Formats: sequence, structure tokens, C-alpha cells
Amino acid sequence: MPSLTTVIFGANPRRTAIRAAALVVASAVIFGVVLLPVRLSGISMEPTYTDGEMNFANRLAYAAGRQPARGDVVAIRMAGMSVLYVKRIIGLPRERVEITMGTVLIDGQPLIEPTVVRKAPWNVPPVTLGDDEYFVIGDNRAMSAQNHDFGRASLDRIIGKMLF
Amino acid sequence: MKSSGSRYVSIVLILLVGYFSYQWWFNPRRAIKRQLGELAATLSVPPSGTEIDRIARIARLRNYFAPDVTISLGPSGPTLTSRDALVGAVASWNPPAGEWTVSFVDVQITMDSGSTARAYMTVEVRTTDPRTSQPVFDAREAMVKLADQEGVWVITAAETVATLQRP
Repeated sequence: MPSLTTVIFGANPRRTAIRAAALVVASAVIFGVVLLPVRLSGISMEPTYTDGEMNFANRLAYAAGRQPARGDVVAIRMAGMSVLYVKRIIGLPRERVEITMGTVLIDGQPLIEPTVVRKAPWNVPPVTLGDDEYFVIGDNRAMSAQNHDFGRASLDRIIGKMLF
Repeated sequence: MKSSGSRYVSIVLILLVGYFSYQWWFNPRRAIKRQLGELAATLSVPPSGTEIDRIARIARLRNYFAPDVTISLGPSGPTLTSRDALVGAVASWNPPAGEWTVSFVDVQITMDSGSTARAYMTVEVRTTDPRTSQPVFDAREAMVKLADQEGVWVITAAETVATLQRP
């Protein structure tokens, strides 16, 4: 019958310790550098995400020259990483974005948004995005525009793309 | 046998540790963070607060702001231009019943000089919706300017910062 030490630390404690240390380092790298855990709060991204749902922001999604794309759901930092906005990109740099009776127009053309289920008749005046600006908004357009945070976000505030 | 060289190295090390500990303890950034933490606690409303508690908290607010403080709450919000106006506005505000927890997170402090500084932070507010009893969370970026007045760091200006630039 194996001893308690063998049961806990395995037949080779040194190897077990190395494996445990490797797991700790890998977890620290993955969850400290690559994947940022995010707990979603609020209703502005319904039905895509619900209040209280857990997700991860992939901080390497826009590394190596990759640029955010229309339709990406991104995490946008405030003063730091403790609180983030999670919004969908609908406008890209140098595009003209406006919302007329709930329909998003990009350079005058209506945008097809399969993730938006219901739209209240929002009206947002046109804005032309800068060279490093993206227009972000939530998927829940049935709520009042007054209570919905949306607008231009600079590229340096976009810290990653939601994993799922 | 311990040589005199080791003794001198030990003394130098102790002096260095003492020096850096003194610098760290009396670091103005640390004092500012502590002051901001106390302000957040003062702004928070406990679940079982009485009217006397509320009056006491409002009175304590005066300790954190300069007499001529300017508070700007964005293009659609009010601008307050004195401590008295701020205290009056807080006193006249009647929040919904329940606990309100205010926190300043991700605080970054920049010393503009030996007696002035700027702090950039995210202000978190947590409360409970009285109708649904569900937790409610909101957050805004803010920038405050502080000045050292007679050894106490007070806020001379505060403004919200728009994370998303709304058209």
C-alpha cells in the first residue's frame, strides 16, 4: 500500500514539483498576459451576452499588426484594466457613421447587423472617425439610447477581443 | 571571525533600507492614495445609515476639497465652482434607499510639482436596485487635480473623462 507521501506527491516528488511549478507559470502567463477574465455587468450587449456572464478578452488578438474588424466584440479599458467596456465594433477608421431611426449607416450605406434583434428608433448624428478610431456600440438597441454607452474609441484603448 | 568590512557593509545596508523605507512611507503618492481612499469611503453610504451619519459624512466631505474647487461632470452635467456648492449639492441629493459603495480603482498619480498632483482613476459605484433587488454597477473615468495645503492633499478640480466619445 503506497504511503501518504506517495499518494500526495507521487512516486517522484521532484517531478511532481516541477509539473506543479510549470502549471503555475503557464496559468500566470495565460491568465495574466494572454486571456483577461471578464465578468459582464449590464444589459447593453443582450442578447449576445447576459448580465453576470463570464468571458475572456484575448489580449493577443490584435498583436502582430492585426487590426480590429467590423463585428468584433472588444474590451475597451478605462483608467486601467479593472473595469472595461465590452462593445461591438460597427465603424472603422475614417468611416462616416450615423444612426437613423435605429439603422446604422456606414458612409451612407445601411449596415446589416444580424446580432441586433430589436431596434428602438435611435437617431445619432453623423461622425467621421479618425485614423485610429473605431465606433463601438452594444447589441441591445431596444433600450434607451440615453442609458446606453457607445461612441468613438481610440485604438490604444482596445485591449483585446472577446474570446467567445 | 567577522571582519570590519562586513560590519561596514551591514551598516551601509541598514542605512539604505532606512532611507528607502522613509522615502516610501512619506511618499506623497502614498498620501494621496490614502486620502482618495478615505474620500471614497466618505462618499459611500452604508446599508443602515442614519440621518446623523449622513450629515456627518457630508460635513467630512469639506476636508477633501479646496474652497475654490471646480467639479465638472461632463458636457451634459452640472459644473460646481466652490466647495460650498459641492457640499450643498450633495446635501440636497436624495439617493434611493440602500447601500452605495464608491471605489476609486486603477488610480494613477502624476506629481506635477512638490505640492501639486493629478490623479487619474476609474470611479466605481455599486448599489442595489430598490425595485428588483438586483445589484447595479456603474463606472466612470475621472481626473482630479490635487494640491498640498498645509500638509493635507485636497482636491482643487475634478472632471469626468469620456472613455467613449459620444457624437
